[in-house]
Amino acid sequence: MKAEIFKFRLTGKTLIVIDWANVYGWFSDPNSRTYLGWEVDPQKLFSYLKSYSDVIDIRFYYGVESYKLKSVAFQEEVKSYGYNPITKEVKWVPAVLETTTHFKPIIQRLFNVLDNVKNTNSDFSNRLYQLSKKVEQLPKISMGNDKTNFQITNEGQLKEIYDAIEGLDNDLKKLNIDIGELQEKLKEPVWRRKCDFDVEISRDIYNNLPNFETLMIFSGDGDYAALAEDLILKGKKVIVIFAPGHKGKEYEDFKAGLFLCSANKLKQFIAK
Amino acid sequence: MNYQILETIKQAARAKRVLRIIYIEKDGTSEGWRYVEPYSFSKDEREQGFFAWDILKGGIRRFSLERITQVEMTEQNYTPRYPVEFF
Repeated sequence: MKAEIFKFRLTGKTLIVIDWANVYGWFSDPNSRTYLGWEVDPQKLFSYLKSYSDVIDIRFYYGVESYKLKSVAFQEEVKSYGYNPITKEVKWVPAVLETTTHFKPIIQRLFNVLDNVKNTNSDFSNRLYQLSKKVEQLPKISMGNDKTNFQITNEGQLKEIYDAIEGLDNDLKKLNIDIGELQEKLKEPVWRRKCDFDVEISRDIYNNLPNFETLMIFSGDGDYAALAEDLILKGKKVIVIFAPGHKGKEYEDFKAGLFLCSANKLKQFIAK
Repeated sequence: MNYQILETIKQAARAKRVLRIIYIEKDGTSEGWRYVEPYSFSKDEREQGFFAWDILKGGIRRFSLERITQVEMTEQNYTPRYPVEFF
């Protein structure tokens, strides 16, 4: 039997918004548990979306790093495909220390070190386990400002963690197991790429409100759920394209007016 | 992944019962049956595992689920040393 070819049922004029940072996150890290398994080809994506006669505009939002040739070239590439690109410069915010993600790889690597020691010393592994639990319990870290690298909501807890890692490091060195590299990693400043388009996207959607009946948004970011909710109240239809593992839980409570579509349904049309 | 193994670990943790496992080390060796108290999952992106107290060794160990070949829930209960986080 011939497989049915997926096709959107669009209701009237359709505005399409692509939050490329979110889409890129679906496939940028093959080691991630939520890796999509294939890459989205922006050129094929444009051709596929253009095949729908009701589409009035395809807006492509992404951050540019103008000092990087690759980034600038991508900007030109996107234009050449026919997109309406909306860009701004990427900001690198200094050291918003997301402690859990910062420490967890270090602790995992410590456990890996211990796994390779045949008769793992119980004292090490017990301390390491307690350390990993302390990291999990750390409170959220607040945003930094221009003058200080970061603000820590609970310096005492953080100090305990650094001390515990240092203690383990020293004891492991006594066994000729060198984890100095991990210590160095702790000293590296943490930087975060910041180029959110949620405000710009919301603004543009509202400025276009009289011009479309359906909004299709390529992003599973749950921050857009409030926007979708309001558009549905205003009588619009909203289609959210997401990758498995990249859909905000905010969408779970929606009942009518929202169509959630896994990117996998489009794979045959838009995969690189 | 062997979901039967995973399920047995969860059941034992919920009932606070000691598990016995056959575990293959990275070098391919095995120490035979090991009696362990399960406490929590190991949240490593590449390898799913769990943390458990090895009774004979007197300490926490991390076990990769992929390297457990046999698992059984024993009749023996344990008093948790850490919060049990399998719920």
